[in-house]
Amino acid sequence: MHTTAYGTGSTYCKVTGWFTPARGGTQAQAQCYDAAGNKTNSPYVGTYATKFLRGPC
Amino acid sequence: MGQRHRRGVVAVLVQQRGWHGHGDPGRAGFYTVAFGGLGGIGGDVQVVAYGSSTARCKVSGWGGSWPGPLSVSVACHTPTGTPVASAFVVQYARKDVTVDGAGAYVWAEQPSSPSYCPTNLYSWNSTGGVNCITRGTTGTYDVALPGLTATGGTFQITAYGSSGQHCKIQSWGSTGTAQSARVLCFDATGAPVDTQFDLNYFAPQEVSVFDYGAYAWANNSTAAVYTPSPTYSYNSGSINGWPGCVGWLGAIEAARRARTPVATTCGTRT
Repeated sequence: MHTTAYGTGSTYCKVTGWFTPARGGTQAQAQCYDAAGNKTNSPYVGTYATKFLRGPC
Repeated sequence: MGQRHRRGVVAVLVQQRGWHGHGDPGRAGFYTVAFGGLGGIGGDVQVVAYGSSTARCKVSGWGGSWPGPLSVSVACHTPTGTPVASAFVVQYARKDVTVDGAGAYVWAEQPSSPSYCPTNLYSWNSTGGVNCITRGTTGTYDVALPGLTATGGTFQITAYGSSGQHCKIQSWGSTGTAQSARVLCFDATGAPVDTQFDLNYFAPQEVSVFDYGAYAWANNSTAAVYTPSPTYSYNSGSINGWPGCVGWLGAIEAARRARTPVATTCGTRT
């Protein structure tokens, strides 16, 4: 799992977790911050790759 | 689906607890990850901090000689640029001569250069084109990936170096002859700064050598729940077993976690 902040501000985003919920599939969590480390809303791009299937969705 | 990365894209989650780095263990926030058997020159490294703290992490170097390990150095900092211990996820990929999908990567290692086109093993383009980086204002870089003209796909960006700078993607799109991405880099105060970075591009519907994966452009930062753009998002789904799920993009749940039902091709989600 990887995240990259998107947009013009100096925000940054990180991965806070990913897991397989009971309903199946994979759920990933991200959190973004401003430059000072305050939580903020920010666009981002996230990528996930796995060797294993996660299902059913 | 093409397989984009060659002899093993590898990724690990390094938890601080139980981690025994061997790069600079006496210095908090600096780590070395060894990927056994992957020693070699070139490739691309992506790092992202993991966990609930405000830490951010970056790559500060990598290398090794086959058949030995590939060693990746990672540095993590607080928002003010102070090194700090943190968990992180690190990913390494290197092109293969026989199994490559559509994509590109480049190590932008000349942060002050007005324009340059790396031709070393740290730059790869599946079309054979030569990737080029053009510097605009301080901390602003336009990366051109010739021949990758499809609309969509996704990017990964990681700042390179040992200090507290970080980088992100401002925008990307096809120019008709290339995929063009604008990268912005900042110092610990949030001011634009020239710095090195690693860029990795997945062309549409490429995720990894494993065939299973997904990516999403989470472009609505205030919506509680939404389905991301199908053009800039992809879900490999499952090849065997749950055909109804293929193509489901998933619903991005914002921090508010509103329990709003979301209609998807796989049914209603709550």
